[in-house]
Amino acid sequence: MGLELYLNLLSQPSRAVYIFAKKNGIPFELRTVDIIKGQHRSKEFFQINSLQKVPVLKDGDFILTESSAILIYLSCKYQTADHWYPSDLQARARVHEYLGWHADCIRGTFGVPMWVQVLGPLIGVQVPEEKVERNRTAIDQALQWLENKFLGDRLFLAGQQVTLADLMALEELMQPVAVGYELFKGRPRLAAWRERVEAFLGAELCQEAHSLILSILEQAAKKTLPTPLPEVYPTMLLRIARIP
Amino acid sequence: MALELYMDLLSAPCRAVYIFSKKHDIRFNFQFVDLLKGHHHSKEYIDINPLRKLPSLKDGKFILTESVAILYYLCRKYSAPSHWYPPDLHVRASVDEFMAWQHTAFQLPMKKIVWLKPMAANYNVFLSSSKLAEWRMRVELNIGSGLFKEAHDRLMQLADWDFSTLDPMVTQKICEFREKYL
Repeated sequence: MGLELYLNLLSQPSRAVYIFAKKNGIPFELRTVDIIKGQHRSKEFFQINSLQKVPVLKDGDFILTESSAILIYLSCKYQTADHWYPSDLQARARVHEYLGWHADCIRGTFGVPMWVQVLGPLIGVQVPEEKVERNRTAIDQALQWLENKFLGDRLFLAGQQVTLADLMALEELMQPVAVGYELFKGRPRLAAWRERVEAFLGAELCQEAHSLILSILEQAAKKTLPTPLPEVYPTMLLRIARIP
Repeated sequence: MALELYMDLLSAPCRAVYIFSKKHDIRFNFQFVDLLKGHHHSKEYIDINPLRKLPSLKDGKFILTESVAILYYLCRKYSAPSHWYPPDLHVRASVDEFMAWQHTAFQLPMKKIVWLKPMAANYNVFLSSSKLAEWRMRVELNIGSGLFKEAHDRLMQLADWDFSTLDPMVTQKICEFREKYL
């Protein structure tokens, strides 16, 4: 059995892994996990990942979670082009520096609008306006740091070439974009960065990876989204409750 | 120009960097940035790290933030024994996996315990699991009890600290934090 990737293209870190594998011609079996329905909470998936999250990599008997670890693993095992995860000490440190900050300040924050506008309403929960505003402020602050500290006057977030950092960042930013947040408005440098990353990845691959998330509002309006199973309600409620 | 490490040992990521550096006899200048006095908001420190967080590393002109990035950098630059970050693909991936997971699963909850339960420095998380307690002992033995105690001294004294002398900006930040998470 070859490489298996357990993913869902609605999930930001899943998309980063998917795009990386596809861009680098890494052969894999796609195992889609329906996270809205709640497949990640099933007994079968628990055997794959007891933390019940995606993405997950399964390479023979070796199972790996956490998108940044998966990306690094793939880049090393399949010896992808150096720019993705540079071998130079300082250049590599910059990638790790971004990934650390991303885990604290981007992850968790940029997913909230999706919960507010699509996933909460799906189970009849409305997130208080105060929390929505707080999240908006947090997003603005994070974008400021992204643009000023990490991008600066460089072409990409960790240097002059595309790295894993750019992929992780782009996919997180796509999440609020998909529910109508105009993140790039008034941020020309960030907008230009986004265009460069997407140009590098290629329009076709971007379309393939983003079409599901970009159609989420339409699906919600038409009521064609899957119905969450009862067993997934508690985790969804908990996730919403944890929104600061 | 010696390596500079900007830290306050109240902060867990700072302690990790401190312990690692001392354990491997890495020569560095300990630039104490007093969190309780709000020194991370000083102009001098903002020049080093505009994000105003600790730890930061300065190696000549190269400035690096984020404890995981700093640990990896030190590990490689100072050729720490390979068990710290093993070269085997699978084992290294497992380390990367934990380092990624600990950000969201660990750091925020631990911060909440310290700042939201009134200065609960005496909250013993190891009481709930003997497996964790045993692991902790193994790590402490590996690091060396002397270095371990040295690194945790300031944190252990936190409960006795006079919080009326806290810098107003720091008090404000703690209140904002409480507002978000309570």
